Parts: sequence; structure tokens; C-alpha cells
Amino acid sequence: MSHLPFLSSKLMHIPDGFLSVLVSVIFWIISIMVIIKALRETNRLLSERQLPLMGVLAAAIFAGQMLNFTVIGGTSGHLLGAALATILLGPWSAIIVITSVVSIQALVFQDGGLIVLGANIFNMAIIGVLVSNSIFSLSKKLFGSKKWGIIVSGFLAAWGSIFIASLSCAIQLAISGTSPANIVIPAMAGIHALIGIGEGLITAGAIIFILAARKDLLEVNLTNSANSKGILIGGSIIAVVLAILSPLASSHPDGLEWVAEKSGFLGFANDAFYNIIPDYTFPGIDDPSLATIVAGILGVVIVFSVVVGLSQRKKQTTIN
Amino acid sequence: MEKTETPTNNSKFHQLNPLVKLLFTIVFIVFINLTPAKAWGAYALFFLYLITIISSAGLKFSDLAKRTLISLPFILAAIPLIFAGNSPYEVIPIFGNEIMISVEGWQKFLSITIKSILSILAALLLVSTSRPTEIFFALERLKIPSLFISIINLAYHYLFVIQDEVLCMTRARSSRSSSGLTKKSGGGGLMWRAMITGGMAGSILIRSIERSDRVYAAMLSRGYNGKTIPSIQDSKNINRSEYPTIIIGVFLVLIIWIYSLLIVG
Repeated sequence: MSHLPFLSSKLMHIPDGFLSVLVSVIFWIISIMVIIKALRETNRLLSERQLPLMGVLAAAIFAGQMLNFTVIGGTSGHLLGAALATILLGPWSAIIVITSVVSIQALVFQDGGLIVLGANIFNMAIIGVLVSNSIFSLSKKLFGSKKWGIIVSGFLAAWGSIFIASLSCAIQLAISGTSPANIVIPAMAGIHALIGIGEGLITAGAIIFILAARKDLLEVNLTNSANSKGILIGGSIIAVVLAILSPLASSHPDGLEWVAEKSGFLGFANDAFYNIIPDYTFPGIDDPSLATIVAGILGVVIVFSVVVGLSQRKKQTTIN
Repeated sequence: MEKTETPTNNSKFHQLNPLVKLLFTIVFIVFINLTPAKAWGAYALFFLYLITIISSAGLKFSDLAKRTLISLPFILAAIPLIFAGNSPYEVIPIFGNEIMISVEGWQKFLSITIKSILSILAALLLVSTSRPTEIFFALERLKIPSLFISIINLAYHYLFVIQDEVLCMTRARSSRSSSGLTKKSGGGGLMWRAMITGGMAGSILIRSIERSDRVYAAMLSRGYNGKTIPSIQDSKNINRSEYPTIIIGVFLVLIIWIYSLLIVG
């Protein structure tokens, strides 16, 4: 299983030391609030056989992350599984399942740090699930529940979840002053735009298999995932905000520098230590990669608005 | 993925309440991360502190050191600091080119790397001296909802079973040459390989869902009442006799941290 380390899913698991304590605490608070809500919803909505189902599925997704396929000599495509979990279980349970996976990876295998666990949960479990939920539901509305529509929706959801989660990860690193915004954001986005394709293809393949073998498993949640509008809109807003914020942040690192300074002063007044994002000038890297990321993000926004627009129109015609 | 070795020997550190160890680890990592950059002396003291516990717990440092490599890929993210930091710059000739390196950026990069390695060492110390289930039940004491603990616990129990299934599948795939890169070698194009892997993922998920039905039936037959699974060993309260250990342990961390503020500030 040879693969270059920097093309694996490891890049999304931030270790301790790479985020400032304040950033870690903020994302702990956000994640805990979402997890409590998710636990409540799961408790309310689902039957008692859900506990073993969620536990075993978490193990399956953890183990499934070992699956890979060769892309070109040395690099390989991996599975992270947020989109698959969302499609099979619905958003709230999927958040719990992926949170369990990420927590076990941090607590037992040191894959991702302990005090940054809140941020890792936020990126992979919360953003990953909410974004793939929104993309999947919206594009399914667009394509209808034809077989290829579900498969394409699965691909888009998986790609989007990886891409947007990596943006969030990059912004956290930039706010913490670990890496200059104008470098880390395009780099993370670029790498994960590629990793996302692997994730998307595996997810699509898995959906094809499940449609052939146990179609009933998908149908339950296909109807079920006409879930509350709030979570759908929430996921879409997260995706769009991050997609717009990231190129802005990477082309104007001053804004993030301001945030970093503020958070530094809140942390403790140690000017020399926290004056972390100086005026970076990094000729050569700046422009071409920025161009790619802007293009990628424009793509996301366009796909999103087209999908939203079309699904709105479709809804109106069905009402009429 | 290597299995975490279950703790075998019984040093004093092994016998400490897992909750104490968990809290100590968290305090330790938090203060390492609160330590300013460039506090080399404090890093050395933190390291010495860890080494002392590691050796007194009868663990081999080299075993733990190998596993700190897990953070290696992430260090890439901090490398740009070396070139993009503030002045003063130093010019270093590499292969005939002159490369500008920011001294401050370089020191910050080194600080982040050291802090990250120290944090991972501390976390490794925790898992090599307590069983994962003990850590999960310690979390229960920290008011983490028991529904969540039950799910984590179940997931951990079935992880190795399902990992074996994945390994079997991967072996089957390679023995049928379906991992080949071309049709000639028995494989297919990129799409084909991706779809095969996807099919494997799908079948693992379906098997697991079916397995969870059996697990549920087995749980019912043993009197599962639809609530959370009872803890196997009720997590212990912190013993009174353990208070001095905790206080001294945390006190030492605090002293090193204050020292770091003094030498940098």
C-alpha cells in the first residue's frame, strides 16, 4: 500500500501543536453544541436498534478508510466516508458516526490531536456531513431519483464534502498562524480537489453496489432525507461561505492577520509570539495557484446556484 | 494500522486511575501548546518530564518515538513559515542558488514541530498505559453522554473484526490481479479500479449493517433494554490517595510553563 503521505486522508487530521489554544477551544465549543443537538435528534427520531447500527457502521467506515486504489504510480485514492455515512444514515446520525470515528482515531491511534479534536470533528464530521447532505439532497432533487442521478449526486456530495472541509481546515491553520493564508488555502484546496475525486469515485462505486445488492437500504433514507429545511440550508450556507471566504482570505491575508492578532491578544498578551502573520510576500506561488482555487470555487458556487435554482423551479412546477 | 498493544506491565503509572491519566495528559498538552515559540529550555524540560514518566512506566522510548512520525505529513503545512516570516533574513546557498530564510519563521516552524511531537508523545504515553475501553469510560466521568460512549465503545470492539474483513478483501483483489494498472495485467483503467474499490466499500457497509442486526439480536437476548450499554467495569472515582500525585504532576507542568514565559518574555 504505497502512497505518498501528503495525498492521503491524513492531511485532514490536524495534530496537536498546529492550532492555537484559543482556536481549538472555539471549535470545541461549536462542535460540542452540534453534537449535543445531533444526539438529541438521533434519540428522538430513531429506534433502539440504531445504537448497534451506528457503532458497527462507525467501525466499518474507520476500517473502510484502509481501502485505496492506485491512481498513478505511488499515489492512491482513499475513502473518508462522510458522504456515504450521510447517504445511508441521514445527517444527524452521520454526524455522530463520523465524530466517533474521528474521536477513536485521536484517542487511540494519535491520528489527529486531542485538544484540536474539536476542530477535527468540526471539519470532518460536521462540515463533511452537512455539506454532503445539502449537495446530495439538492442535486437529487435536480436529477430525480433515477439511478444515475443518485450516483452522480453521491459523487458530487463526496467531492464537495472533502473540498469544503479542507477549506475549513486551511482557514483554521491560517488563523492560528501556523501557515500563511495565501499559501495554505490554495495548497489545501488544490490537493483536496484531487483527493475529493478519489473519494467521489469510491462513493459512487459504493452506491452502485448498494443499489444492486440492497436497494432498500438507500430507499429508506432517500425518502427520509427530505429532512428539515434548516439543516439543508445550514449545510449550503457553510459551503458557500467557506467557498467565498477562502479566496478572499488568501488574496487578502491582512484580514486573517487581524483575526490572528485579536485571538493572540485574547490568548495572552505576548506580542512577539502572536504577531504571527506578517505581510507575506511569496512571489511565484501567489498568482497561478490562486487562479486555480478561484476557478474551483467559482465552479462550486455556480454548480450550487444552478442546482438550487433548478430545484426551486422544479418544486414550483410540481406544486402547479 | 497497527493494533495498540495492551498494557502489559504494571508500573505505578499503569495503575493510576485512567481518568487521572486522561486529565493529566490533557493538562500537559494544553500547557505545551500555551508555551510560547522559541522557549527551547522549556521544551527540553517538558521532554525530560515525559522521558522520566516513560522510563519509570517501563516503556521503550524508541517504540513511542516511531509512532510520533504520524504527524510528519502535516509538518508540510508549516514549512512556508520558513520562507515567509519576518526579517531578519539569512541567505543560505543551496545547490548554487541563494535561498532567503527568515530566522523568525524558521524558529517558529521548529517550535511548532517540537510542540506537536511532545503532544503526540504525551498522548502515546496515555494509550500505552491504559486500555482504550478504560479511556472511554473515563470520558463518561467527564459528563460525555453515555449514548456517545456506547457507540464509540461498540465501534472500537468491531473495528478489528471489520479491518480483518477489509484486509481479506484487499488480498482477494490483489490475488485476482484486479489491482493491475492495465487490462493486460488483469486490471482495468482508472475508472474501473475506482469502481472496484467503491464496490468493496459498499459491500463492507452492507455486511456491517447486516452484522449490526445480528449484534442487536444478541444484545436483546442478553437483556438489552434499548438504553445504553452498561459499563463493563464501572469507572472508578478518583481515589483520595491519588490526589498528591495529581497535584505534584500538574504543579510541575505549571512550573515549566511559567519558566517558559520568563525566558521568552
